[in-house]
Amino acid sequence: MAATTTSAPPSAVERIKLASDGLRGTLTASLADAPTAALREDDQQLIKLHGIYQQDDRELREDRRRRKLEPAISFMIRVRLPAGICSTAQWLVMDDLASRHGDGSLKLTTRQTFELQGVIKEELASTLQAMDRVLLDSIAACGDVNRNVICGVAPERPGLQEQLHAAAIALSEHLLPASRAYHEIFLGAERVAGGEPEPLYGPSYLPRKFKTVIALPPRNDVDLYAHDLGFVAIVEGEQLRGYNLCVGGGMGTSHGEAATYPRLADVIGFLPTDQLLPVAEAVLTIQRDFGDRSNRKHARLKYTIDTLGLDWFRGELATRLGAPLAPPEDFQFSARGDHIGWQRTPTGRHWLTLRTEGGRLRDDPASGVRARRGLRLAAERFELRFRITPNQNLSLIDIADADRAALEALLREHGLLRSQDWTPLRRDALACVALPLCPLAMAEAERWLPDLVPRVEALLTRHGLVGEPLGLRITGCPNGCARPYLAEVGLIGKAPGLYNLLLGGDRVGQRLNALYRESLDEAAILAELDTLFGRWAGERRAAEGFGDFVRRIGLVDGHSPHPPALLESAA
Amino acid sequence: MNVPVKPPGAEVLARVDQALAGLAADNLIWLSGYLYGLARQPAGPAQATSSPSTATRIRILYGSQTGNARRLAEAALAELQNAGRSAQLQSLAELRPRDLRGIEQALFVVSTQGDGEPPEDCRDFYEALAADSAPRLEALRYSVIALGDSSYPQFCASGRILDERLQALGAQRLQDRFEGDLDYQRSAPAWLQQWRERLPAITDDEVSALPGRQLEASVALQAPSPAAPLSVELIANLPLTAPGALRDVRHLELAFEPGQLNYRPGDALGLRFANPAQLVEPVLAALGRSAELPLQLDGAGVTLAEALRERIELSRLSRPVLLRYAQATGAAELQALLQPDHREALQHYLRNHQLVDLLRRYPDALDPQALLDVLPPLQHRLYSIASSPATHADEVHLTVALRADERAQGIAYGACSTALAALQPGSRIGAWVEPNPRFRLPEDDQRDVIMIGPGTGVAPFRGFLSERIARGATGRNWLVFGSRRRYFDFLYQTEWLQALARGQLQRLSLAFSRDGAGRVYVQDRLRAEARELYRWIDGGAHIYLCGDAFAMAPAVEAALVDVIAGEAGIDAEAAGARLAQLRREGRFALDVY
Repeated sequence: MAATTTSAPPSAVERIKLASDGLRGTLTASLADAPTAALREDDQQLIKLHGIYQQDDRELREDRRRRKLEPAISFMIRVRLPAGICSTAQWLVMDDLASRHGDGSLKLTTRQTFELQGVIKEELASTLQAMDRVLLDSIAACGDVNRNVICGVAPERPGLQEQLHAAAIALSEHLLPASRAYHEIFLGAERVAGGEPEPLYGPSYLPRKFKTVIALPPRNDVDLYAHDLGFVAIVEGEQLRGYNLCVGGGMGTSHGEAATYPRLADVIGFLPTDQLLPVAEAVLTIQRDFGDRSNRKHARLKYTIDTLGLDWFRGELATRLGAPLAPPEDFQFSARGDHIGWQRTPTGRHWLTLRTEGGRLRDDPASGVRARRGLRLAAERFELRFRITPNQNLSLIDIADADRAALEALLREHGLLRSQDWTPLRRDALACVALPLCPLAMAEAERWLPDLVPRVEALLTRHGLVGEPLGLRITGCPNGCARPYLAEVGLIGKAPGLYNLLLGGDRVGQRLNALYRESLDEAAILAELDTLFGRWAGERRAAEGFGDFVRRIGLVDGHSPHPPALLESAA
Repeated sequence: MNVPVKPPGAEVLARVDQALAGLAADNLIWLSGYLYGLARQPAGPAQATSSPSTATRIRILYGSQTGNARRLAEAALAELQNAGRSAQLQSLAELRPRDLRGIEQALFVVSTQGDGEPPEDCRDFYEALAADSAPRLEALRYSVIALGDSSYPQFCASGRILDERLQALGAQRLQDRFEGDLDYQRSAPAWLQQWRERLPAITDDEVSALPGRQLEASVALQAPSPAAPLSVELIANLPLTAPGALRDVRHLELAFEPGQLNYRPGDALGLRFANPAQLVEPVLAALGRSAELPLQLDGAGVTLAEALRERIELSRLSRPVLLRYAQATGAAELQALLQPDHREALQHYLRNHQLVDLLRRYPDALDPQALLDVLPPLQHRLYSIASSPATHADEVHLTVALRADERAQGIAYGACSTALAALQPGSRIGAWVEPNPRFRLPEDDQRDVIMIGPGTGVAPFRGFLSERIARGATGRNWLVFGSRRRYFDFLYQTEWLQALARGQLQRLSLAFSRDGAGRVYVQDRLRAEARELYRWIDGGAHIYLCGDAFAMAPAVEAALVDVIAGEAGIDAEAAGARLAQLRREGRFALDVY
């Protein structure tokens, strides 16, 4: 290999992966350790590559410590669900499992999948086996591998939608680790003698997480530019001609570390459809070979590209593919949010997209919303599929004409179609899980969202801006699960109750926002927004979005540290 | 033997006091006999290991598990001494049936445990007495005080068995057996008075033994007792179980001044407490009488509230109370429970009912004075100590399960545990040590120990492990613990995990009965780990078992028999004999209740 991004010794996680015997480690023994609900330390890292995170309820830590009990440890299982589409049978199994674990809620994520929380160690295997019976797994849904492949949406073009869904599945499967460890450890498969080589990943997998996306313009619901590897569907008529390749996007930063930054992906070429898998593999293996394996905060593809240069990357890619890519085709994004409500497809089927607050589905008798029950009955009674959107909403798709009225009645009865849910602010707002379970969280996110949104909405109303789209995203830490750096208003947790306020993203996710104020509490955030909304209402140009407005009047620095190539080419 | 007796001078007494400082009550009592033995030796020192078998004419012999029988025996001795007579006090643990041949008058005070068992440390004596080889005892005249709890089917069985066996061996009964229930303190004095009157006239031998009183007095000075507890300070009162656990278990830390309490891991702590409001208030309400109502109790005036709070047992219902209610009400359901063939139903009833339930069901059946006359006095409670003085100097720790059983007729509160739960750090409580000499770590630190303690039965093993670590014991430590759910009630989890990680606890076997699909208990773990268990036993390990005496202990003993039988390739009978042998050797010790 010619260049690498570092010569420092590999990080501890690298050593763990390398010594893991194909992601097995001592997981089987760890799972059988009766005295503790935890895994052994190294296994806590390894299990991520099987799509599982060890977590604990951080709010109970101190109390349990005083009781001489270990923390309230459980596991989160993230499902591998390419394009976020699942059958009713799969939905029913996930719904069952949600009843049996955690707090009885079902969590939909910004990567178009389910997260099952609160699964105890002893029930991991039986849970994964239940998923396996309906062909669901969690392989590589976390960890230093290619994560769940997400995919854009176009109900108005069902043929194309199916093609892209198939492409997402193909990408996901092609980029799976070859290790059979998951099947042996959790599903009871026999180990084949000699073990398996890991032809794509090699013995230590990737230096860091790797996120792949397929976007279908004009909608950027997937946040194309936030991904390590992106494919933009280029369509002629109704025919998929190929994809623009996008590389080097990523959200995660660390507070106070200037060397970490969010970065928008660069659009670097065009490929025909049959080159999808070879190109994906080439990008992934470049990162495998050149990514920084000593410093995990500098290990994403975005840093590899910034360290070695985009030209170097193009050259390396051409070498691996045997030829350079064609120049990228033109494309335009015009929207990012989901179309909430009914849509009719050209083939006479219906889609219904429901807003879900923070992606959380639960039965809440107090509010009259029985989301899980309603969706469960829908899955039992109607022929349809489910699509989890990258905006943490949920679509019921492929609904027959004849079922539309009955389905709507059922969902209404369970409080799932409420008009106030449809304001653009509520529709587009995103929050990560954060406290109390996420080990990285520094502040609330998902649990705060339902309180904050009405207060922001009241401010919009006060300034005559109600109904105006406003992209609000909250994360409990700077790692960026809810892609807050692409929001018009981004709130990034710093400490309990304190957030950095970032402003100036655009409405379709093509521009990063920038830090406006640091460490504000809720009152200060609302005060700032009150003032800013006042100016926006008074000084905006026609239909000017909030992010565009604050940037035009110079409230946030127009300079983005790593201006993406796209903005020049697409401008 | 006639030796002129005179009290020693002040200097000698001071030397004696110095030599005895810090000795526990049981040692001092033993020494009283030892010294007498020394005095009777023709020449040279007595052998320290010999039991004081050379007799005074009157011997008071006790078999005690919780200290009640021992204390009653001590009281009998004190009364005798007050009447100007002398006797020798001795535990049946130190006596062989052969020794009875040299005794003219014996008073036995024995308690009954669980299902008719004698106290743990008297089993050797009972076995030997029951054997065909037991000596004829025609010269012995004896009386038996049997203590028990009539809510158990085998009420006072160990006293009855003793009485019958002594008869069979030819001994002469001086007075009919006394069977004392929970209220024995009220009825025993009259019986003892009668016994003293029946004793033969005073002899020279007794006169010669009178200096023993001096030692008895120093016992009282040295060690806190139920009658004179030490006021200790509560410094921590922490929950050990998570919210949602079936039972709230507390970790209590009590502090005292250096040297005030002497204990060893394995001992129990006695606590003096008052009935908590949760027990007193419902009783007062059900009686519908003024808290200040003047009443008589044990010949003195007392208010109703005082009696309920400090004098009377409220949480444990006993057979005499039920009997009195049956007489007063004529209720068929109560009379049925009192039939001899309904012992199990009676026990079940007594375990699930409290006084207040009777008061509510049969209001006005007994007036408060009649109630006070029949209710047993408030019993003190004992808790296995959960600390080692080597690790926590001048502290004693307890593991206390709070009883608050939800029942259709209301919550049944435990008396002492509820009182303890409400104590705030800084408050004080009366305490004393009940030594448990049969439940001790091996003297030899190279020995392995296997500690089986589900639930709060784990308490003494926290003290054991601390002690072993502090001593630098090289033998291995194996803890077998069980509870319902790891998340909620794995008592002292972080301490065990730390000891495991540091290599101080070599093996930790766990049975959480409600975590998995099947119910798994400690006995199941023992069977599952039979090979290793037997390897340890065969290698000389000491086995300790602490906790519930009714369901758990027999199940664990059965499992141990199975393990020995299976691994040693012998039949169950031989394995049982092997376990019994381990028990006699002190390698299998129980602290069950």
